[in-house]
Amino acid sequence: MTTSYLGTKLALACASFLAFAGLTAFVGAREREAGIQAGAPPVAASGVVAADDQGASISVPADQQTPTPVARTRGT
Amino acid sequence: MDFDPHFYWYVTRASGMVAFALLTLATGLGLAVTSRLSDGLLNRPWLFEVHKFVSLLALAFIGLHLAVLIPDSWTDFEPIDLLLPGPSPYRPLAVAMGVLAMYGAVVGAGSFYIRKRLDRRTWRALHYAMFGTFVLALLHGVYAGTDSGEAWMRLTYFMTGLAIFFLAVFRILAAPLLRPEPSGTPTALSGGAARNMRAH
Repeated sequence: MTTSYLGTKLALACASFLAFAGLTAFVGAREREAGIQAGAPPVAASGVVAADDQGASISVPADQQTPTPVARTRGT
Repeated sequence: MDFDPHFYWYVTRASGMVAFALLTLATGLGLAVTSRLSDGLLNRPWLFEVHKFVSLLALAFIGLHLAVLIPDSWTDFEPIDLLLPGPSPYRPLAVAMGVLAMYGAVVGAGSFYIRKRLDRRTWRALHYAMFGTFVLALLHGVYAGTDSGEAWMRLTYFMTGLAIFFLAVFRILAAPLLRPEPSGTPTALSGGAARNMRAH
């Protein structure tokens, strides 16, 4: 019966981790898609990833970035 | 492949969702155990062990939910914002509810390990407080969550809230009408689990 408990716990832990990994990928994909579509991708701490005319990601040099006051405006 | 600068933000959102789902499951299992709703379908001692484990798992994801907020420069939370209710500059009330829910979850999960030192009344009071923890976590998610505006997330909150509400009403109204527990525990599996069940 201890084996049964252990199996259940392992299954729950694995399912939780898989859900977590899937949700992380899901919200990340949605954010990237929304950022590119809006033309205003989120500001990173050390640079900006923007989209060129073809939709490919390009790096914008720090001195050409438009400051975006995003800090403390995003939720969890 | 470049490291996504918002990876921490995605992780905290996903871990918050999973923590909430596990907290809902833990609350629901606790209600199912005490109301005997699942008797005949599931083994009560087994259900109690799962209830205990899911509470700990929820706590682990709550820890992750908080831990990744510290290095995340996108959300810009300070440790004090996450440990005390109030100082957060981002939606202080909603974050405060999350902080209180975290402490509630800590107390709930920790109570399993100090159960022998608690009398039955205190044990029950602590577990009734888990309803408050669930409600606080729900409100925190609704009002602080980035994804709360999404239809799928709203549906999740609605369905989980409804499920716990139904189980709580059943526990309060219907459980006293159920047959009394027999002196023996016919479904008992092992000594430890049976002892936990009797104390619950």
